[in-house]
Amino acid sequence: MEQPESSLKHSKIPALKRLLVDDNINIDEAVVHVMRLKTINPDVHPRFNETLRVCLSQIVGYRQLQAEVESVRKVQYSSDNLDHEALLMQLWSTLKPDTQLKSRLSPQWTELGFQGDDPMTDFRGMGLLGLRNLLFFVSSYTDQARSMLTRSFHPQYGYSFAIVGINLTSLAYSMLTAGHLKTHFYNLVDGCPQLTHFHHVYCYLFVEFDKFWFDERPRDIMEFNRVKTKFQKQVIHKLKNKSTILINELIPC
Amino acid sequence: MGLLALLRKLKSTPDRELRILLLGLDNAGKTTLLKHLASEDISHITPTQGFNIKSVQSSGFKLNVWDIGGQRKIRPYWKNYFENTDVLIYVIDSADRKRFDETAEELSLLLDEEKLTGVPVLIFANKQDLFGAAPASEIAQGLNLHSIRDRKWQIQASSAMSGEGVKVKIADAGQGSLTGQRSLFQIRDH
Repeated sequence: MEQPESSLKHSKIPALKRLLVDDNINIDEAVVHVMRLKTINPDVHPRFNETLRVCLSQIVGYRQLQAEVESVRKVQYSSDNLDHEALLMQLWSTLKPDTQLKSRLSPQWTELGFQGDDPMTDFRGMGLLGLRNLLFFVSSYTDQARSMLTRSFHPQYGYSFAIVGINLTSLAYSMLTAGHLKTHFYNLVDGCPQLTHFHHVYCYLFVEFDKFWFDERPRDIMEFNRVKTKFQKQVIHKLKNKSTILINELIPC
Repeated sequence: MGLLALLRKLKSTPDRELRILLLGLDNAGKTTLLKHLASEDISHITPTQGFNIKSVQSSGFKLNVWDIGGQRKIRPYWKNYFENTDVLIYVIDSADRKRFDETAEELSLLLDEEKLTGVPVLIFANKQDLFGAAPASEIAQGLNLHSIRDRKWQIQASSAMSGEGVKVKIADAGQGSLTGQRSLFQIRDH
């Protein structure tokens, strides 16, 4: 799949190169165009048309996903925005169904692994994407998320669940931006990947990181960046294998 | 020209390497400051779990800047990074008035630390771009900085977001005076 992408990129024909950067291409027209330019006879190569169509959809789809993810990230969390606040409250009630949050600003937020009384200040450069990812994970895999939250208070190997979660959004985001996730999405979706697919990558990363962290037996939380970098290298290495799909044995609730 | 231009006299030892420790409460802007010093993009910052370190070259000096997470849970680890610190940079969110007492308390604990005895301290009254930010003079008063006698110190209004005030020139410790002592830091805007 990355082969056609590379062929287009290095093509001497400007119209073919443009397929990689133009956000408004009509894929069906592009397929006809490519076949004409390359004088491919559909009777001789009956599957070419469909294969090329899938390839182009994936290439364009990845770029569209990057744009969509970026647009969510760019939205700063705002406590004046009722939608944002509702998502945050949902995060609380999903993880702590039996505990009442006493007030919007409360040290109780540290029980979810936020830094202080107001989670708003923790979303920072990941904006709404950090919250949407967290919420997707805890809503889709609630049991898993709750048990990870509980374990994150381990006296020696504990970490701040929400903060680490936001840092993992940053990891997923940077891998998407750098193109590392192409392998995964090209193998997974025969067309345009959606935001949900990105959320699933996030879930994979969070669950795998949690395991990795405990397996590493870090001295303390100050080792976080060392362990995170090591983990990231391992995932990127895995994605160099052309058949990789990032899935694990998560069971939806 | 780098962001930090250092002059020789700051350190008595001949090696041209400085260890700078960045501390302050969570959400004060330490990592943003660090990224600024390293001329890196500041739009994708996340809360610091653990610490970040960057080495910045400036005017032939190597600055090793340690940015340690400020969350309450992590503060007990600050002491592991005190050793051999040449300059302490303490960052304050000037708009977070609710936590002025907390940040003053943390700073005063730091100034009492044996391993930081005599270490010069630069305080950033950060987030001056925010509505309601306290001016540096008010913060200096609140922190009772003028009573510091055992070390060089300076307070600087800054906005790590816009880069205002963070372009620090650590100047020849022989010119100028703020507190009657020799001035350590000379601040330059852009």
